[in-house]
Amino acid sequence: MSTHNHSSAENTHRILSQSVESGGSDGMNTNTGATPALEVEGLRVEIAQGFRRIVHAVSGVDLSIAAQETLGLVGESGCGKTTTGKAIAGLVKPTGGRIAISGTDLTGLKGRSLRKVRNTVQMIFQDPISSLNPRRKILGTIMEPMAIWSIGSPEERRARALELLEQVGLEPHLVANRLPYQLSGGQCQRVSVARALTLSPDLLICDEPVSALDVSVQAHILNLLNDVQRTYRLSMLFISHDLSVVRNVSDRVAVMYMGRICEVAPVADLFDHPMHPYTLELLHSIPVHARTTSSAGLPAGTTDVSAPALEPIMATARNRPSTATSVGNVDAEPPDTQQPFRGWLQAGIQGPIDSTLPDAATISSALSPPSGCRYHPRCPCATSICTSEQPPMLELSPGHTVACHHPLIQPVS
Amino acid sequence: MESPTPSSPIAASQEAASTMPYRDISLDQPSSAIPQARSAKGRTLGPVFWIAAGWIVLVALAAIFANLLPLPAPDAIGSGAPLAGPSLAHLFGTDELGRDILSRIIFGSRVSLILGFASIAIGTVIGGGLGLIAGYLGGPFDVVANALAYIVLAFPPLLLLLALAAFSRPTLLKLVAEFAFLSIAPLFRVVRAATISIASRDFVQAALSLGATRSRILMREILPSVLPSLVSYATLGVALVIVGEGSLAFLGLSISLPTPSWGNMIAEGRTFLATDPWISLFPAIAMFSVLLALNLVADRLSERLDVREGQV
Repeated sequence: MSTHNHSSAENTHRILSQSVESGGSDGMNTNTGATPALEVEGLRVEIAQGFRRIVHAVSGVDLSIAAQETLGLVGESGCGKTTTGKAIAGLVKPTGGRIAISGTDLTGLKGRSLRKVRNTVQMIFQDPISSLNPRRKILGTIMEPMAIWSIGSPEERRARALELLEQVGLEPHLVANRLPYQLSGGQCQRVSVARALTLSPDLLICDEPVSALDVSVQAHILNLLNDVQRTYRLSMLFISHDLSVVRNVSDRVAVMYMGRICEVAPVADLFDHPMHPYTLELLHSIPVHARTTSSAGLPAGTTDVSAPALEPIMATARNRPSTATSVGNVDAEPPDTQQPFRGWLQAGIQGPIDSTLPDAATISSALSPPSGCRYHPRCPCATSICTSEQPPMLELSPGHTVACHHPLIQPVS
Repeated sequence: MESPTPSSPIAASQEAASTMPYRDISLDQPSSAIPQARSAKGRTLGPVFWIAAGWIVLVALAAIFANLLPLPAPDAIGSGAPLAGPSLAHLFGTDELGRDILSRIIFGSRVSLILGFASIAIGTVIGGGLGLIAGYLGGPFDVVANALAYIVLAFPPLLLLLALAAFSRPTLLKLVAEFAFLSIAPLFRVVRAATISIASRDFVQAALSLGATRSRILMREILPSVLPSLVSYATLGVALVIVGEGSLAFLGLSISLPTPSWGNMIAEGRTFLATDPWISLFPAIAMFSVLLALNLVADRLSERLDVREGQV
């Protein structure tokens, strides 16, 4: 069953007959070639909002996801994470850029061929209840994708739907004839996963899939996603603002700020050696209790930036030539308004959480994004070049790219 | 799931604490967390609905089979003594020309019911269809359709009907067309608003990414959620049209005599209100009871069809 000819003619057969291949994922499937599962180049999404008001939701995003890889996409609320995901899924029309899925360029596709390509990308949404049609029974919800594409007979669809329900950890005979409101949030999210798997996609976009769930249920859904990723050999784009979740599921992480990517790195690299000041701010926004104990004593799963990692960062900030008035010697106490999170840079890891919150005045609007580097109004390292020039994406260490004029470079150890 | 089989509960909790935090199957077991099947409570329409719906059906059947009923003809002058009160021969009495009032009410219901249901049916199809499309597609079509709806709504409906009646003698067909036209805008707005709120839901987005066509999304994802508010609103619309016909008839601008309608019967009887009140009273009761029944049906339907969406 695991070695089907994946020709397009047999697509129907493949979808209906694909079942759990436990332990069968040896990484030797056809997708593992040179073509990445997803390639995004210069993606722009600008949404007109009334007269002459344009929301610059996504302004030139480059991303690529290898086959069976999980890319985490993090950033604060409103930075364009979800819009990026929706644009890739074809739910939002991009105003510019190129999206290629498994080598197929989406730009210029229309009608049926576009709908067909869209099938290879499926999305899991944040709100589990809203993701399901409240008037359709669970079984019907999972059979619907097959009905859309007229795959199989009703009996075959039914059998496949029941099988999928079982695969996502639901008991088919208990949930099949229920309506979404009769299930818990976690169960609804499982149904969403099953529906997304129906058409055997290549790429799964998870838009904050566990944010609306009870903490105790989050882990189960993450496990489920992990399992189906292996079973179905999926690539995943995992959008979240929860860094500890992203750290646990991702192979690589992209950090997004105001519609642009600031840093992309392998997950361990990013959490241990953040190079973009914004990434550092994000990492510091995670509340960590028991400051007096060493980081080694923290429970597993708790994200923590180790103290040694911060030393060189402080050094960089101090030793930067003071080309701008706003940044000079951190120790010399420059005006507060210019240095929103000066507090923790100075105090290092001991910094109180409150001082990491940006002032309301420095939170920029996507209606009129700042010039140059979009992070410069909030950045403690900003100089005059940051206000005028957009920093290019540079690969500073293998697989670690940063868009910053003054990256927080680590000494090679 | 990799759950070790522990020897004691204490050992189990220690086991859980020491393994990875994401490997824990003690909670969210699908079988135990599923709520038990809902009882029939809240799923039935209740006796009030059935009494009200039964009354409407009875009135409609009487209207359809009026010719078969053992009644004097509605326009038979002198079938009884003029202005006679209710008696066994004439249950609802007779009017000033000796016509049987019960017969006239039953035949008159044809006008009210046909007008009410036909005009709203047309309005629902046109207004509802436009509302679905405008609400889902948005853009210039939505802007234009919405602006037109505002203009029609801003026009006083009775004034429009009076103006039209002044130009040409009202017939049933003309009245149906006029009321249908007037019902399009409000029904459009109701459906459009409901569509907009549903179209932004994630399940519509999911259907789109599954490759569903726009028409399929409209018919299978959005329409089922819009239908309850449309049905209950349309039912209220039928009642409003029946009242509207009554108002026009009272002004002498509805179906002209001798064809009876509830409205023109009430209007006719008002000269005898002090001495022979039943001439107006019985058609008024007929109209009142049907309107009440329609309102109750609308109310129960919207309650019943409104599927819960929140969590239990």
